Amino acid sequence: MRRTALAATTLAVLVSGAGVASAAAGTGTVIDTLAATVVAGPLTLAGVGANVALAPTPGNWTVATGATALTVSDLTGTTNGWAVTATYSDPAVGITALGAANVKVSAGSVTGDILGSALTLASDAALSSPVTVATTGTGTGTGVTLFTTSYSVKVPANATLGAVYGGTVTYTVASVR
Amino acid sequence: MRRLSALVLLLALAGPAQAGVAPTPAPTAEPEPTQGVNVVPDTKSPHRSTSGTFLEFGTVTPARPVADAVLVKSTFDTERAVSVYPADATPAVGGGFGFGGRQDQTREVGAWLRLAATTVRVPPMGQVRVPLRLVVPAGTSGGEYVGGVIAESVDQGQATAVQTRTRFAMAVYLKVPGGASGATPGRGRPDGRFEVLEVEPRFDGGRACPRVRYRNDSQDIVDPEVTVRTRGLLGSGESYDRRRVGAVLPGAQATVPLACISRPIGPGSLDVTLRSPKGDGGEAIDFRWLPLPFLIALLFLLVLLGALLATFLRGLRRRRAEPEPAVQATAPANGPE
Repeated sequence: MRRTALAATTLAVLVSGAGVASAAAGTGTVIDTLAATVVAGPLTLAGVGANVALAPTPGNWTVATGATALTVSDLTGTTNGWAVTATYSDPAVGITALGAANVKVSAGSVTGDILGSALTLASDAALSSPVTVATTGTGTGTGVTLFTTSYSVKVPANATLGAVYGGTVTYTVASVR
Repeated sequence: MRRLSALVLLLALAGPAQAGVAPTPAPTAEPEPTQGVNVVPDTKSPHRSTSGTFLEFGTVTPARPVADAVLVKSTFDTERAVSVYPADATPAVGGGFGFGGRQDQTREVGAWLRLAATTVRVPPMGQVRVPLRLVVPAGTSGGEYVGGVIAESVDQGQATAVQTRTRFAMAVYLKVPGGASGATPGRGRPDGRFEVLEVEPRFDGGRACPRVRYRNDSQDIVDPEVTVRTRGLLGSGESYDRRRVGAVLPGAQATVPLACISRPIGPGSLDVTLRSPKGDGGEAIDFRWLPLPFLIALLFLLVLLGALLATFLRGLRRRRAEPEPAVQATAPANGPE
């Protein structure tokens, strides 16, 4: 195994040989042999949202505002990279849909085990189609990597006073072939 | 709440020129940043990829069912309800694939896969085996296909105006034999090739950050290789190779930003070469540049040289135009009186 970062879920500690002892009372030696075997863990994606207040001027794009901190944990121990894509879907009933073409996503602020220079990041890409927001390509993605996505949105020029607009952005992580 | 990404953007319009914002509820609990759900091929699967992270069915005969299984895993420390479903893959901006949502209609791999469960309860740090069955319908066009098995934690917080969700996709690759006859539009052409449509150099100060657009008219999924090289007038420059820049589905195109590369000072060139790893297409594009400061400096130098030359010529002409002083002949003083 080439992984060195250990996570609680990937570490199995096997204790053996306890009590190879000379048993005379008060004397002797007990030797414990610890064997820590690292086993492969999964590739997962977690996201932590933030409350973001956008004040769009109808018909115009807002400036990109940081919103979601995404964490990719690649504990697979393979050299395959990963890719995170973003897709748009309409919000719950009762909220006016922004529409996929009116939401743009950018990614940045990379920290963790993979350097930002090793990732290809999206910049102001409309969610009319799925968008690859961050990918290692064929480079390894091993470790825990964090990045932030930000949104820029536009509401129609004829938006009604007090109308609430929204949408759902789903981030999907997958291993690169 | 675990893996909750409760991004909330409430866009309440306050007036014709400015929109107001309603207060938004915060998530009730934050997940551990590294906890999530995942799907991998069963450890005994004959179609498990070398990396163990996706399924490679190879060539699948239509109308002949193939049985397999996946493991739905969780790294949460509490039991989780996890939704699992098959999905089609679609081309993504930036290369690679996006996967359809649970409610999206499936037409290809997503429709051909049947999972034995739609929701499973995964124990803390545990896994659940879910059998699956793949049946490619008779008459399916030949070519390479990709889809996915998606795992999505059911509980991702309350629905809000704008919500962020996260999920995991395990890719499923397969090939359908044939193709020459009955290839449907969108699956590429049997004689199709990988084609580079456009390379945009996109200079950014001292760097070049090229963006490429390419199309895959073949029947296989293509993930092109690229070589990017800059060369300066004085021989400086750098280069890099990437083995894969972004997979593109048959019959689809992709626009992919490439990694930036520094460009040398002064005039130089940028070469971008894209190749299909299957050897069925590729192109090299060469851009040359003359940076503005360099041109301005060159212009100043020329003006300066011109001014010096003009001054010199004027002086020369003036010297030639001046009458030569008269030379009076004087008799030698030592002549006899």
